[in-house]
Amino acid sequence: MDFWTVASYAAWIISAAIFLWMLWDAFKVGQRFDEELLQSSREGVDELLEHGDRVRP
Amino acid sequence: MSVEAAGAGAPKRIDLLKVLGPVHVWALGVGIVLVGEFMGWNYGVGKGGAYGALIACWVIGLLYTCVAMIDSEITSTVAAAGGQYAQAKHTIGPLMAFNVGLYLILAYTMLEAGDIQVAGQLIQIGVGVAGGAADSVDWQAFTVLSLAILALLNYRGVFMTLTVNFIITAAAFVSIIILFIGLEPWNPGKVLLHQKLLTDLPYGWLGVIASLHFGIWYYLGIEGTCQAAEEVRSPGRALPLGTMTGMITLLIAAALTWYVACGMLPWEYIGWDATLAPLFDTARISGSAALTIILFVGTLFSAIASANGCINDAARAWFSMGRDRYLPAWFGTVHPRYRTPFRSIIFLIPIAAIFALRIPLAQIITFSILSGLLNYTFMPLNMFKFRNKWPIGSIRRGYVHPFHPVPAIVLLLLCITTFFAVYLGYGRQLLAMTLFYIIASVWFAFYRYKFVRRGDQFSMPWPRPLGY
Repeated sequence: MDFWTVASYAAWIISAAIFLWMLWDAFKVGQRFDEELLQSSREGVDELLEHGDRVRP
Repeated sequence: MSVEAAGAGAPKRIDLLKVLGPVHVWALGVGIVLVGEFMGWNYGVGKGGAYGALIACWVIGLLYTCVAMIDSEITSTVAAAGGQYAQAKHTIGPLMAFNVGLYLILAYTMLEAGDIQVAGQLIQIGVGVAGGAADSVDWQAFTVLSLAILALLNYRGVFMTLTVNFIITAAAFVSIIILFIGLEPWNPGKVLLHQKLLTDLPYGWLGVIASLHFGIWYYLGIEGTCQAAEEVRSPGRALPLGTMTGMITLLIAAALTWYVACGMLPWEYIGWDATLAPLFDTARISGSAALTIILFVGTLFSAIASANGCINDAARAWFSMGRDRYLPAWFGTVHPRYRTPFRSIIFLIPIAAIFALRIPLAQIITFSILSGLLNYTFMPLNMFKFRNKWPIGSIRRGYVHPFHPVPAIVLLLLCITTFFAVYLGYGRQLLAMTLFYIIASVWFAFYRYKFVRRGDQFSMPWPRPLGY
């Protein structure tokens, strides 16, 4: 097998590993955190202003 | 019961991180678009000749300048992820918002699929040009690898994602300038042969109108800057600044691109360039090995930057619709550590991969362009509603665009003309796409709407609209 054939197989393997890690991490987050907390973000809320650490002019 | 929610001092709410500045907004907008300078616009030369493509570049440039002005005003005020979707929700209503959300998701996911397909194929082409065994390169493996790495980047945080986008987008833009300088434009007739290569309009003015369809490639996606609205530190400043400087960058890049490609290659070749990338071909024809390498890297970077920005934008639109229950609420979640819409990012990956691996580039991009055009047609209506309901002075705006209603009227007229141009070449796809959105609207109105959080639709702290 030449270099590019090996590189192509390596690309498939690395891609699969990355996708599996993301799926595993997402599953783990779903297990550890309440769904209510994960869905708690609100549109139009400026947390910078809310926490008082920065006030826009 | 989850450990994190029960613990003392646990956060009450997880929002997207506000970490972005104008540079990131520029990187998002220009990053998505710049690939259109490296490829795609050239099919407009096949329709209308070199001058036809130049006219399309200017006319569509005007269309997108109107888009950027309108978007800058409304988004500097509606600072929410989802961009035009969130705008539609506030100014028009749920059914329009649902459709606009779908336009955004389809436009960005299809563009992302096209970008990663191009990235994989470019690696195969590059190996061939370098004298390697191109046949042994599996382009699909590199397409999927590009998608995996970019998805991981997006999954782990928006700041790094758009910082990387800034670097590779700036490098791609610089490669166009290097090509322009390398071809000695101050010495006409030596390398650039405009006098010999430029011809009259080969298909008359109808050809010019047909080329408007591909003129969109020069700028498609600049409106994506709006998707960063919830993650910028100062929406009122960063969004107009990033969007308008992005538009200026693209107008310069488009003009340089047309000038160098049409001064080096005959219009018959540019219009039907089968190797994907006319700027790369321009560098190869110049005979300079350095320019060839620089433009290869620039082309690859532009495709990767575009896919990166599209993953970011499609996921935000999908996330916003999930958060409002336009789609299942499961998608409206934020990662507690990386503060990204992680489930939306993961969900859209296989869709982009299937299209990238199975569908020809021209069809993928046509889906993207049609969805983009529908979105642009919504914008003038959005602008009229916005100014009528909340006139100047009634709410605080980060930016007020000049000459209203002229940009909105010009945008509407140019969209209608461009729809006609698309109909000339892709009439069936246009009708099929319209039918898809009608069916989706019926599904939303009769089934999905009952799940929507109606009380939370209006999230901006504004006064009651005029006349309500």
